[in-house]
Amino acid sequence: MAVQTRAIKRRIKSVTNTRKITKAMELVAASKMRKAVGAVSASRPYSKLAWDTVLSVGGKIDATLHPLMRQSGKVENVLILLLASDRGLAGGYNTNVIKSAINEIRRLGDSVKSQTICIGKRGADAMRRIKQPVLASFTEITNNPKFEEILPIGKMIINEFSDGKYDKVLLVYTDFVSAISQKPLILELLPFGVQKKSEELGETSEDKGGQKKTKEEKGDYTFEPTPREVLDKMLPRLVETMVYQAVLEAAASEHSSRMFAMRSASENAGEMIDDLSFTFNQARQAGITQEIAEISSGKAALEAK
Amino acid sequence: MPLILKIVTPERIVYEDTVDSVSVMTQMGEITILPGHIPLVANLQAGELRTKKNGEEIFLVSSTGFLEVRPGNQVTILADTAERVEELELEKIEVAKERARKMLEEKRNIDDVAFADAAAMLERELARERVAIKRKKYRDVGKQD
Repeated sequence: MAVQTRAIKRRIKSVTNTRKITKAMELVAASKMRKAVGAVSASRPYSKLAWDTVLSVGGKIDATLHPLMRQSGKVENVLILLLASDRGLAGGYNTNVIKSAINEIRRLGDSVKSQTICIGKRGADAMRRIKQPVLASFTEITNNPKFEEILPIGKMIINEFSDGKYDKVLLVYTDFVSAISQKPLILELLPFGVQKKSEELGETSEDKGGQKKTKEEKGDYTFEPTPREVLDKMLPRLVETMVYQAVLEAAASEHSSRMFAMRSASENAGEMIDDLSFTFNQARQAGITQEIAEISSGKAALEAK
Repeated sequence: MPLILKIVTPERIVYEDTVDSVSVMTQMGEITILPGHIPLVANLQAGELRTKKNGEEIFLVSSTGFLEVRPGNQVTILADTAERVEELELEKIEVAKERARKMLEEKRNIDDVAFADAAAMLERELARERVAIKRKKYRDVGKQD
């Protein structure tokens, strides 16, 4: 009996320690999430408007004006930017976004060559596992994203696309809908001007009402000083903004899904401790009862003599 | 029909209102947009930004960015930074300007990209200072009346 109670006691101790860790991780994730959510909602209007601008301008001007608007008739090379996290223990966060990236790669089929740029270790690991070529892997960004940190990524995408190495650039990231709901999204980043209005970056229920679409109103845009000069400044900036926004969305999603994963882990640990304490008490009581029985039966045997 | 004006930076929405006119510094010089303007996309220069509503003028400072006039009198200004004049503090600008100038000197011979960044930063601080000084004078004059 003594052996069993000791084993249970040890188990309770270890679960208690686990709960302490998950609890701490939950708190850390919660504070990071608050920061990330603040950042993501602050920059949403900007990227939303910038994206709208490109959509409305892009449809009305000559696509040959700028290398970032180059449309290839046939899509043969695709660059995928995958945003996952550096660390695990974030519930289904990484699994979901990686799954949607893999599905997209499968959907493209064998005739299309695709390369990936990964942000976050988990994404790069997963891509290596399925033997998907990884062009570059950036880490240590999603923890606390800064605009300067994504500049090299933006530059890389712009250069690769302008050089004509790729016909299409896709962003695969997790859209932060709310603290309890995040969904993986695929956004066609480049070339500009062909995107559908469907699932745009940063569009959530809250800002759908505010933006009135001026879809079918026609009118050619005047550019000052020249279309080329405006686009030269605007398009690279937009690539950076969109990547930055996606990183922010991904960071907010990561931290909130980690927080919820850790919260449920702490709850489960609590339940387990309750369960184990109950078993422990039962075992202890059983031990005591047995001892008493042994003593009294010993005494009875002595008296009987 | 008034203009629907939105001034947005990556950090926040600085200004959102319906106004009668807006004047901005573009790469080609200052322009004023009135209702009924043709669709336009222009590069912004760091400088003063004025909007008029019911005869009252509101002053802002913006750095580089873009201006878009959409059909339907919608004006969108996407700036890297923008503030209202009331938010400007001369002392802080002075410090920031000095810092930018120092950085410009340091980076002059080292790195092209960093140099361009520092130059843009200095330009922004200079524009803020210019506007702050100008508006401060106006405000002081207003007080004496």
